[in-house]
Amino acid sequence: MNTPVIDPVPLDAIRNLEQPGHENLLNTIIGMFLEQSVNELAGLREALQSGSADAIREAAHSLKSSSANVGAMRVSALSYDLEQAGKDRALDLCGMLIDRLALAIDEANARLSDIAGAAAA
Amino acid sequence: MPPGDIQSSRPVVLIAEDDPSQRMLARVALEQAGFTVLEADNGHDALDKADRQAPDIVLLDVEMPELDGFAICSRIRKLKHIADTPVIMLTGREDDESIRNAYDSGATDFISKPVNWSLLGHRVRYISRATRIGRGLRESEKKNRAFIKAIPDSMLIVDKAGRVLTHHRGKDGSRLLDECASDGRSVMETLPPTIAESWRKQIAGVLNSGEMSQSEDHIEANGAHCFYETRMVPYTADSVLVIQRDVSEKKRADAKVRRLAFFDTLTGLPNRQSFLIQVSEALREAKASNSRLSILYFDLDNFKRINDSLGHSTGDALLRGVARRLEQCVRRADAVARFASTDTSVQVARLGGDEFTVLLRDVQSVEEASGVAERILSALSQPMHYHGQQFVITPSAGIASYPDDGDDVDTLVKNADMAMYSAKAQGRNCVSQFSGTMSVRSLERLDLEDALRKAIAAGDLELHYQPKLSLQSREVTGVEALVRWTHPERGPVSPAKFIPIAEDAGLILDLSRWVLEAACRQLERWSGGDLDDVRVAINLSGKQFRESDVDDQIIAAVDAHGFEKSRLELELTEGTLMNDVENTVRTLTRLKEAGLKIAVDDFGTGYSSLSYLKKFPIDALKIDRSFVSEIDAGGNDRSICAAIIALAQSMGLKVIAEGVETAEQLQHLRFLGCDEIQGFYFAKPMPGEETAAFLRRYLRKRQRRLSLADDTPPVQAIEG
Repeated sequence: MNTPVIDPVPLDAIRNLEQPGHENLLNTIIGMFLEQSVNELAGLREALQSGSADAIREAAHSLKSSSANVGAMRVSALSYDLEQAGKDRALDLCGMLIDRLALAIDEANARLSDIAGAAAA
Repeated sequence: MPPGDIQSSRPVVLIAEDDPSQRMLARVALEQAGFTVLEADNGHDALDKADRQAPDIVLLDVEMPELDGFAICSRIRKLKHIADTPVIMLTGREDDESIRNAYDSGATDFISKPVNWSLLGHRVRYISRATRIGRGLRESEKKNRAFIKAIPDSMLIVDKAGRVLTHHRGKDGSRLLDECASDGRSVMETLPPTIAESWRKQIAGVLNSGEMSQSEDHIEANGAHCFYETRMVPYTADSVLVIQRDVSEKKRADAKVRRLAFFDTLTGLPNRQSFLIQVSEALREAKASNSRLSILYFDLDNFKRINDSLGHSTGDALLRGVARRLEQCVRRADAVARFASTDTSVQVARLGGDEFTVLLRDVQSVEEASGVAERILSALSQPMHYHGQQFVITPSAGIASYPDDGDDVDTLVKNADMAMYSAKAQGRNCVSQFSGTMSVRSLERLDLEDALRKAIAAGDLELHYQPKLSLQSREVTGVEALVRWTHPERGPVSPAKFIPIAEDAGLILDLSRWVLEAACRQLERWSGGDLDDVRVAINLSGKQFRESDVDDQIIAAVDAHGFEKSRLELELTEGTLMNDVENTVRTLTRLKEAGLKIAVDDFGTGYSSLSYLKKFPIDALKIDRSFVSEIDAGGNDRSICAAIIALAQSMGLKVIAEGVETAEQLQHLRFLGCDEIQGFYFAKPMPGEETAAFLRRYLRKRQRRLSLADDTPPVQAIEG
């Protein structure tokens, strides 16, 4: 997979908005994503277990967009695939993709945490 | 909307996004770009906020729970008050289907995710501005459309060849242009050739010069005359904006005004106003070409009498008849010879009343002008028929010519008028050329007439009173009121001079009424004292006496002043009495029964029929002064006086001799048995105050004489 774990461009765009009143905007956004991504993942696993392809599709769509927002391009790409699989109601494929998505989220969140930590320090 | 307004109030943007972190970033980015941000985290909330708060711009995430972005957008487009709000869709990257759906649902633009937050503000601001500009353009176009709709003019844009590119049909647009606009033909093919040619030149001229051009087009279609005022201005480098206004109504109204202003409504001939303009033009030409022009001035001698006696409708009909004859005359070659050859060389007008003029241009000689006048005169003198009656109108004509008789309009017209008066003076129904000697005399007369008219209107006249003496009782039996006029510059004017002027100028009625009123005022002033029994005689003019309600007028005047009616004596000439015997008898009887006294004035000069005379309820005859003045000359006059006195006695009438100036005349009259005398020998006419003093003096003397039983001849001039 050629897609980078983290694309710095969206993060730079957010950093550009860090003006008086919003000094820690990037950290806030990263923090929100860390929490959201973990929640979405849990939701996806639940949906898979209950066999709800629609719930998988919706959660994947949401994750696709929010991960891209913080430059987590690999998460976003996998979310896209998962969204499509959800649409196709291919639950087996969904299970496989969710496992890979979990790894990608771990990887991205570790990097994002570093970035946030560096920014905070 | 001007940019100032954009800056003055922060535009409001609604962002609908269910992802909280992206919503937060959108808020920060848009606030930094100067927007006020409203947030919605689901579709229903978004639609509700859009509906209630009418944001300036809406950002919609495509995928949201319950109601997605497309659905919200379509609904916004259906809500009238926010239907044209710009809506930006946030779509997934490379999501063609979403983008298509976004536009199908009416989105203004889209931004693909992930959103570049640092550019979002610029992007939204740009779309917002573009929307405002677009909205401004739509507004302005709407206003322009309203404008154009309200303008009654037709507007079209044509190319060089005259093909119609755009056409707005005005209220009264020309059908010819409609046709061009619909079938793509050039206006040059449909417009009448002369107008097409004018348009072709104008279009080329306008494109060439960049200046506006203006013309008036007269289009006749199916017998209807339409007038258009056409303006052309350059529109683009090779097209022209044509504005065409239908001015047909205005034209017609103008023509009507001109007709009313310049034509006489009764006869349809040009009126005084246009005649003066014609003369002034002709005069300019004559001066430029060194030629001669003549003004013929016609007046109908007996017209006033026809109008008075037969009524205005007959008078009007005759005036129309005269107008037609004049027109025929000037058109007919035999009447005006070569003048008939051109249209403008001879022009007829009615100046007013019974005055007509003919303007002759390029006259060869004085004789030629008078020849034309003579021929017109003879044509007008032919009998006319109206309602079975035959009328003979006898005009008089005066001629004045440029350069001999004046070189300006006023002088020429005035001199022609004067020449016409001279023709009347020469016995009427003839032509008179203006001559220099005429002017002084005629001017004097015109001046007197004018001054007299003013004097009568202002009551600037005076009554003098001449006492009458009874030869038997030696008492003053009364006074005759005589009107006196003092011209403001010339001094006193003799009644023998101004009364004929008053008669000719139609002032006699006003003058007579003034005399009646003034005499009644005097009688009232003399009432109740020692002069309570003085009688005043006034002269009634023929015209006044012929008024149908003359009896009422006189009785009302006397009643208004409240004196004994027998104190007012009316003097009428024989001519007046004999004019219409039946009416005379009726009117006199009425007056007589009311108590007034009636005398026949200037008796002996007219043609009284004795049998008629007997029918009239009269009290006295006044012997005309012409017989009295020659009574002692040994001629017929003494016999005439004797006969009149005998006649009066036989009819039981009193007889009064006028104009007694000498003791000899008095002796003769006394011998013949004349009852009363009036004249300078006894007393001259005097103003009211002086008359009163005279009467009182005379009364005292007489009383003294009576007390002394003096019987010496009493008659002597006693004057103040």
